[in-house]
Order: sequence, then C-alpha cells, then structure tokens
Amino acid sequence: MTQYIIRRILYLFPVLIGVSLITFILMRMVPGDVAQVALGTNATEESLGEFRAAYGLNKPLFDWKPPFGQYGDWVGGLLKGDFGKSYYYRTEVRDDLAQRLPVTLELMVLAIVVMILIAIPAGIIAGVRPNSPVDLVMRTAAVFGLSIPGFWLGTMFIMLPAIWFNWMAPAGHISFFSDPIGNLQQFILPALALGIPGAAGVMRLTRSSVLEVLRQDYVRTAWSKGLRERTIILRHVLKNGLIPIVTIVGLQMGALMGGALIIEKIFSLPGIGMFTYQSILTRDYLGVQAIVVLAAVVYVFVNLAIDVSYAWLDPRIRYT
Amino acid sequence: MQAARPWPVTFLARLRHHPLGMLGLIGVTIFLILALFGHWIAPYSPTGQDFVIMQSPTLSHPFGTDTLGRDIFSRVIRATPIELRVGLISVFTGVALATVVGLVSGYLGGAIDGAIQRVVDSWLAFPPLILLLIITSVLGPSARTLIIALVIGTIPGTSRIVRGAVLAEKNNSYVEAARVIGASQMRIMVRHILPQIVAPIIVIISIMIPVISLLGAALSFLGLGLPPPQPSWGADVSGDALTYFRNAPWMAIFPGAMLSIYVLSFNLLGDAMRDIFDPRLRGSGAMH
Repeated sequence: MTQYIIRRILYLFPVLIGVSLITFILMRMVPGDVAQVALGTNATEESLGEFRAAYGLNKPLFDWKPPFGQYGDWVGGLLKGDFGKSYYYRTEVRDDLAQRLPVTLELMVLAIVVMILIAIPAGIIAGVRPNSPVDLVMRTAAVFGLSIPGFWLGTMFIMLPAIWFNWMAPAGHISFFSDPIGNLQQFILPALALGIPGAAGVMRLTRSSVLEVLRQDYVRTAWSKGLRERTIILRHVLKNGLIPIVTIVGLQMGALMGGALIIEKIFSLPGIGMFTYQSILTRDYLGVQAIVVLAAVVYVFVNLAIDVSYAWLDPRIRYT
Repeated sequence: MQAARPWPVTFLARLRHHPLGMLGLIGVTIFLILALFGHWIAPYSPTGQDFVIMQSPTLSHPFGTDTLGRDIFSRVIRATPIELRVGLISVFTGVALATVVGLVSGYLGGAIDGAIQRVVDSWLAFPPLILLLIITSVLGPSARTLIIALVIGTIPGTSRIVRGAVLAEKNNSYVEAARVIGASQMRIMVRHILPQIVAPIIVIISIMIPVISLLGAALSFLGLGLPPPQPSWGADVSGDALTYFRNAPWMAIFPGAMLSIYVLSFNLLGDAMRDIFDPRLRGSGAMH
C-alpha cells in the first residue's frame, strides 16, 4: 500500500512537467504582446523594452544553460514558492491567488453540498424501487439536469428573482466572517447553479450503485435475518454503494472548476475562475500558469485520495 | 451471436420499447430538419435588423427581438446547422483519434503504453474548460477553432475508456489464436480487437455529443467560441442579453432553452442507445 502511494506520488512529476510545459508554450502562442497589453497602445518603444527587461521577457523561452531561459525562471520561482508578478496589475500572483481562493473554495464546497444533498437521497429512493413512478420521475429529472447548460441556469437564477421579486444578491463580495447572512445570500444561487447539473450525474450513479449492491448476497442475508429496510439501506447498501459515488464526486473537481469560472463570471464573484478568465484575456501568463499547475497538483492528489479511499471503503481491494 | 440484421434495424426495433428514447429520436430528427431546411422555416434573416429593438414576443416576432432588432426566433433556428456541425465533427473526429490512441496504448502495452498514459495523465490534469479557453485564445474565435478545441477536449478521457476496453479484450484466446497463425500487430488491432469494442465506442459517442455540445456552447458564451454576428445558442445568452435582462429577458431565455432541448434530445436518445448496446453500462450516468 505504502509502495503504491509512493509510486502514485512519483507520477506527479511527469504530469507536472507535462502540464507546465504545455501551458507555458500555449500561453506564449496567444497572439498579442504582453508588454503592449500591459502598457497600452501609447507606450513608447523604450518603455516597452524596459518593461520586457524588468519582467525577464527579453530572455529566450528555453535555454540549455542556467537559468534555462524564461521557463527556467518560472519553474525556479515556483520551487521557491514564488509565482511571479502579474504583468497587468503588477501584483504578486501569490497574493492574487490567496485573495481569490476562499471565494472559489466556498463556491465549490457549497456546490458539492448541494450536489450530495440532492443526488444521494434521490438516487437511493430511485434505486430502492426501480421502475416505480418515483424512480421514473427522478430519472427524468436527472436527464433534464444533465441537459441544462450551467451558464444558462446561472443566468436564469440571476434574472428570474430580479424580474419576479425585484431581488438581487448584494453587490460587492462579502466575506463569510464579517457577514455570514449577506455572504450566503450571495453564494446560494451560484452554488445551486453549479451544483444542480453535477447532481444529475451523481444521482444516476447513486441509483445504479444501489441497484448493484441490492443484488449482493449479504443484502439478501440481511433481509432474511429480518432486519428493517431502513437499517439495510443505510448500513449495508449505502456504505458499499458509496465507492463509485466517491469517485464521481472526485472526478467532477475539474468540471466543477470550469463550471466555477462560468458561474463566477455571471455572478461577478471575484474568485479564481474569474481571475483565470481575465488573465487569459490580458495575456497575463503567470497567473494562468500558476492556476493550471495548482489545479494539476490538486487533480493528482484527489485521484490518489479516491484510489486510497477505495481500499478503506472496500477491504477486498488490494494494491500492489 | 448478433442477429444478421444490420445494427440500425435492430436498434430501431428495440427503441420501440423506450418511449423516452423515441422522444429523443424525434427531437434529434427535428433538429436535423431545422439544420437542413431552417432557411425556409425562419421568417427573417438571422442577421437582418429591424427598427424595433428589444421588442417583446409578438406574432410577427414570436421570441422577440434583440438590441440590434434581430429576430430571435430566426436566430435560434438558424444557429442549428453550425451547432450541429461543430458538435458532430468534434465528437466523431475526437472519438476516432482517441480510439487510435487507446488501441495502440492498450494493445502494445509496455513502455509505449507507459509513455502514452503519462501524456494522457498531463492532459487530464488540466481543468478542461481552462485548457480549451487557452487554445481558443491562441487560435482566435471561429468555428474551426472551436472544433479543434473540442477535439482536444474529447481525446484524453475517451482514449482511457477505449484502452480499458482493449485491455479487457486482448487476453482472449481469439487474439492469441490470431497471433499464433502469424497475424501482424496491425491486423490484430484493426481486424480482431476493433470490431469487439464497437459497442462501447458507440456508447461513448452517444455520451459525448451532449457533453461536447454543452462545452462548446460554454466557450461561445464566454466569447471564445463562435464569433458574432453568427447566431449561436451559447453566445446569444451573453453580452447584451445579460446587460439588458430586466428590459428584454427573452434575449437570454430562448437561445438557452433551445440549447437545453437540443442537448436533452441527444441525452434521451443516447440513454436508450446505451441500454440497447451496452447493458453493462445501464444507468451509469454521463461523464459530466
């Protein structure tokens, strides 16, 4: 087991090298000159040159000798915990991220809560009585959920309360710690818009997982012992059915991050997604690069955590 | 052993027992008709402007008009061919390339598999939407860019699934028999293994069409997919539609509703296809 975990962590290195190289090269292929974007169209040739020199943009992208060009500068900085400076805002990318991360984390955590609260009870109810009217209603709702684009759902969630009740969430970001109620007013609709499409997929998986477990011998044994249905569902079915559910919730992290970008943009929440979008538009390479690398690290560890939790949830699984 | 009838015939025969799948097929057919004959059905040109801007839905403009006085009903209909073309070309190209990657990686195994899978790992480690946003900003918004980005988004996950199917298939005795009589690697992959994994590939295509359509629409919504004035269900929900939603909510409502119905049709049809072609995957839910 330990050996397995170590090998999986070692896979992190090729993934990080791959991801950092791809992002680095792609971002530099985006048409437009960073210095020009940062200084505006009136900048003189001289000030553009100074800007490039100050940010190391006049160096070659790759170099065989230390410090290995711009790529080497960036990776060297990352290893020291230095993400570099934004060309556009002249701020430290690390501070930008630290400031925006809580917004995105809160949005994603709330969305996952929405997802679980809707999907798991619905999936169990549907799976326990397959092909019953309740099951059909749940399944139809799930197909609808999978078909509604997140950006449109988000737009409707802003628009309809404004038109029907003349209600809009308070503007400007409110921290949870200074005003919990105002904060939740801001986050509840974005979290629903982000969580509902995901809930549809998780509900379907919960249902099929419950169906699968109900066929197992130990569930039949539990029935024949005369246990109550409640006990069987909660103690025997749910615990074993959780395995694939953990996987899909984990694998949704990437999709959830993309979804968060769209939802933050619609609801004007100053999170990581909004920052990524603006950084791509202003060719702020370092911001985008930092986010992609962080996301890749999270991805690798989430996947590892999923695989390890398998062994914990199902003792039959062994790793070699 | 499969019946000798061609699979579309078997499929249609079995679809009769899937009322929702039938509904999906009807929906998809309607969208195909709109794509082929939309220019006869739509009452106005999708880019033609009227003097009455942001007009609420009336008989002459059933879905209202936008800030430039364009008829939203006509725009929503005339967006169909490009959306359908982008979605289908992206999914079929992406799945075809992913099949090649998965087949080679899974069948050859060893160092080649290891190398390919580390590349796929890096690819999957990107948050999908961010990778596609970077690619579209490199290439500039156009239908061609959107297709390239969506193909790139389709390959890694799909190739993993294909590889898994190949791994399950390649230890069968028929593969060994082919090897013993001296069949080449290429021949075994293409003539022996590929036909055995057709069912999961069809299922993947049916899952990916709605997923990729939503992703493409999201890129258009963010301004990096189909460029204006091209009518697009994604792009038409953003911009002025978001700015003026209090005065003209129909600008955002109808394109998104049309996209939802389109994706729903493919989802319903895809679910029925999954039940029919691959009962093992029944109800497993689309990758989202």
